[in-house]
Amino acid sequence: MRIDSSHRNWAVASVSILGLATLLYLPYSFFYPGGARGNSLPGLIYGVLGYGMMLYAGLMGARKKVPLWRIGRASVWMRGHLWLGALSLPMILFHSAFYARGPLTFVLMTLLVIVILSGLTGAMLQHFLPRRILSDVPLETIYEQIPTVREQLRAEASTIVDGLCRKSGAVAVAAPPETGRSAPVATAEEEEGLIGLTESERMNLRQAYNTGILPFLRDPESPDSPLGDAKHAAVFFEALRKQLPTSIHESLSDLESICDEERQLTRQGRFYLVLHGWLLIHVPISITLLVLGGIHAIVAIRY
Amino acid sequence: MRIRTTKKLGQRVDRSYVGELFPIPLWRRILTAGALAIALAWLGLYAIARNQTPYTAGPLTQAHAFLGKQCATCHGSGAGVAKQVADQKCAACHDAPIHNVEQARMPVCVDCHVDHRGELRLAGINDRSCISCHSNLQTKSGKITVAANVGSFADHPEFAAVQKGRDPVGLRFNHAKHVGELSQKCSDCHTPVSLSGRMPPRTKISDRALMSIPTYAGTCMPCHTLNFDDKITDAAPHDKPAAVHQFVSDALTRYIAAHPGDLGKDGAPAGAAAWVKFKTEADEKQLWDVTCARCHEMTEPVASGLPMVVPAAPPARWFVRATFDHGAHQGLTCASCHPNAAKSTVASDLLLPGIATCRNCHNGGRASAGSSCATCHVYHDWSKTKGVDGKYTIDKLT
Repeated sequence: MRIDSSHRNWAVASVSILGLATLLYLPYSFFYPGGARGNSLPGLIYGVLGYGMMLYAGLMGARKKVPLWRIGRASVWMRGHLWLGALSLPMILFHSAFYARGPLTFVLMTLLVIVILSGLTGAMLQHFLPRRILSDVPLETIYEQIPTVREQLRAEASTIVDGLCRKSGAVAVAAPPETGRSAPVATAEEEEGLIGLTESERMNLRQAYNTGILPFLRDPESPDSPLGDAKHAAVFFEALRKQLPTSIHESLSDLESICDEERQLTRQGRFYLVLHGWLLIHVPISITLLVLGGIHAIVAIRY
Repeated sequence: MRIRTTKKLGQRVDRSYVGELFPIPLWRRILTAGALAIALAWLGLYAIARNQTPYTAGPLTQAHAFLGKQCATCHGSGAGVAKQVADQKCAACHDAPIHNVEQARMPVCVDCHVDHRGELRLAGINDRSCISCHSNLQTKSGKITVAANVGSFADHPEFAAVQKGRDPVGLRFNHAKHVGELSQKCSDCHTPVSLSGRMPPRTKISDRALMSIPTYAGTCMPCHTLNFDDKITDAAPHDKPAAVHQFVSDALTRYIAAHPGDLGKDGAPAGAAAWVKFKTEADEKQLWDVTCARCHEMTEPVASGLPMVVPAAPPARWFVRATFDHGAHQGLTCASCHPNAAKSTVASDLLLPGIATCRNCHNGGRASAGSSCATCHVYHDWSKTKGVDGKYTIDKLT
């Protein structure tokens, strides 16, 4: 979610709440007998507010799990998650009077700081990365579908090369075994009109495919493949075009396009890991924080 | 020509993926379960051991550390919001004499003594506790005998003893002569003694807190003997005029009984009784007008025919509401705080340092000596301590 002018009301409300809480904290901190502490009435109010904000932020996860619940718009929940979640830190600091001396309270404070920092990191990534992805990965697909799409790309490349080589009856190019799909059959027009390669040209194409393109399509993230880099790929295909007749340059461009799409999927995978990897910290720690925070509240009320 | 239209891109998707769990969501769940398991196992192990240490709000002071495993010992166990440790729980082990019968608001123990903050001295309370009342002091009767608006040491008025402006000692004493002409040191007459009775148990205050009151027998007598007659070797006692009169009369009676040859000599009467009366009057005139009057204010003779001595009343403690520890200041020269002592010619000169002298070091700055209320004042009036009848057994507390 981009943090733009649509957040203005939330930002104003959050800053106002923070300002008011700070204004009330100062006299409380200076003049409350024995000093500010968590079990004083003002301290408890700050604690309840802070934990309430954390719970609201946590409930967004539950809201996501059940999208059919019509409890407010998802965008409102997300904005609330961002702003109230961030606001929970100063509230808890006011609650604890900026100390965390007990074992559980220290753990809680540490978890809260981790949650807030990871959340801020995530918010920044969610703000900046989607635009970058849009420009760098125009052929973006659903992340979980990348292996499926890659399978399709390999099949498509195999079909193209098969079509170019089959005319002579030379070595037939089988579909890559791991695809599990049969390569589409070339049309009669393709066979008659486009392909007119000599034996040596077919051998060159076959060699380029088997040693360059196919290994890259099978393992697109390998650092050894020259096709993993756009510049090297351009040089590779330019050299191939010089060896092969103009009549199949369009097919070579298609192969080059498939390799480019592969590179985009690789980039997308990396972006995805960055864009969602922080959740591996944020979510487990948040849930643990909520559970331990609840235990802390129950024990504090008991004693 | 390979053209990737939106439709073609859409057709790439295998819709069966929706129900599957992919690596990041899967790991998110695994890590969540792991983190929760670790956290709950941590608390669970302590719960099995019946140890509530994880829930403590912070480390207890060393004196209370052994109570840390069982919150209920101090906190009780009834549920409630914003509960505090009840005063009765503290009073089970601690005596806490009242501060002042006139105080309008009686704070509970934990208003001032906040534990769970590690190795802090619980008695070294925060100024906030004091100024919550003393910044705008109210009393039950409405009568206020101390400063009513003190918010910090910077607001503290001049010490009451200094405000009086003079030493009420009621003696004649020339510091300048003793220190200057006679080259005496301060410690020749002033020795430190302990402050007792008004301090809480185990308070770290030195046994050199106060300066003793110089006494005649302990300080003055070596130089100022009370001899009254050349014929009598014994000096008169440092006592009331009647006792002195009796001593002089008896000494002269014994003398003339032993030396009857002195009767009638040097214009003295020839009879023994008349001789004793004559000599007593002469010797006492010397005593009252010169020897005693050197240090004491003497009145004219009253009905008994003897003068009276204006009582000397040197204060045992100048700062009766505060604790000053000379031992803590022994690194300083006496003149640092009492610069006028060497120049003083009369005992009524007030040689006590004022608050400005203290503020040279106790000024609340970063490099200041302590300037909190508790640096000098004690809340509880320990002269009213009653002691505690223990209620716990070792088994119950550990």
